[in-house]
Amino acid sequence: MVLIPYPLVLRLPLPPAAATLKLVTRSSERDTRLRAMVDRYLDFVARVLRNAGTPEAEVDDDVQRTFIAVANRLDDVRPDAEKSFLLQTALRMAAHARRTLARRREVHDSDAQLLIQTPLQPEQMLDQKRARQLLDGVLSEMTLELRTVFVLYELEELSMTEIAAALRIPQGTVASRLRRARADFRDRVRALSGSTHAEVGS
Amino acid sequence: MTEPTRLLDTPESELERALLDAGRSYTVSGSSRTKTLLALGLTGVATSTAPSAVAATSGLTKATLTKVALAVIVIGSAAIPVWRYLDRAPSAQGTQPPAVHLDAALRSPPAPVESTPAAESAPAPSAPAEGAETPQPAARSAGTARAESRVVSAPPLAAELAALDVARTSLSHSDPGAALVALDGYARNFPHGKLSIEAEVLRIGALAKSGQSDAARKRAEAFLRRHPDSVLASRVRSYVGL
Repeated sequence: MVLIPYPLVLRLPLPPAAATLKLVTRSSERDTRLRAMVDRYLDFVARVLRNAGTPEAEVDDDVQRTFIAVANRLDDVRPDAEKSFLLQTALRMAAHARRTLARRREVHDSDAQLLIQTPLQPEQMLDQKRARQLLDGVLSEMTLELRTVFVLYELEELSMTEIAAALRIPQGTVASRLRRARADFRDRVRALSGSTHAEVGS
Repeated sequence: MTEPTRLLDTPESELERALLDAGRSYTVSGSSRTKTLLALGLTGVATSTAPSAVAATSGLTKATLTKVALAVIVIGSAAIPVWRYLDRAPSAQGTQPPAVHLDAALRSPPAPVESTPAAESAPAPSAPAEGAETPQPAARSAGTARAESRVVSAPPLAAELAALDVARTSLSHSDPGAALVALDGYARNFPHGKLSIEAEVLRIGALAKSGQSDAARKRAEAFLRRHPDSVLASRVRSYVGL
């Protein structure tokens, strides 16, 4: 029996069957990881896309694109950074969707103006579909940097530390943007509800 | 650094609460998960997501897969007409719940915003309000009845998924022949299937892997003409080297 030194053993090519088994195992592990990511973060990705400006009709496609993009770089994604990686990818997708939307600006601008200018009845304010439309109008009027921080903090309930890490900006900048974003959001909501806002729910 | 209280915890108005609720409660369509898994090329979409199930699927041999494919097709061919018959029968007797009409839903008063924690995580379905115009079966037009019949008799997505899963698993186990057999079964059983685009992409892949390059290329070019911006376009290109 010939004894092979340990370091040489490591460099020997695997027999075909063992190599195939290793590939299959790796592929299976990868599939399991991807599936778990989809199960865990599908709604999160969809919400981020939608609230960051992806039109409703394109959310499903962009959800798929986001996961495909992450799948292509899965080996680079640490298990504890999956959510952050998905978030960054989804924000880039949403930015692309917004740019595409900007090219069709006339129609959407007029829609947003209509939403802002139409007088609201109290019962209309409570309609969920209407609320979604109004939220789209308000968010689309905010600047991108304020909108992003607002969405991540107020709607996704990420901490300021998480937001700072995901956006790669200092925590002080996050705090400052959040303060301005909240004030901006409230001003716009007050303007929407006008004189009736204080009466609703009282 | 101190985190400020979220606005939804201290809303300034009902409108503000409603808007924030709308932003938080957004959920994807029911088929989004399925389509995402299919787009990622994952098998076992219609089955349990438990790791054991995945491992069991991965461990299938080619012979077993072929048998499973044939069994699904044979059983599916027999079961779907029976299922459709059984499904139509109670509908004709008026025992099916009436379909929700968008007009009536829009006319109905909105749901109250005051919500339970459960309602905050998922939007409550809007129930027809008292006094709202609820469509009665006798008052429905023939066109509406036909439309509802189509809705009711549509095969469930799970059955489509099961059929495509067989094809995808065969393909991932380098058995394009079995995949094509499964896809033929899918085409027969679901001529207007919701996942027909995914089925076409699988077929292009199966044709390419079975050596039918010309057929695969023709289908790929036709697919890309019809769906140039599809999420699956890059996969189609990679199958045929476009």
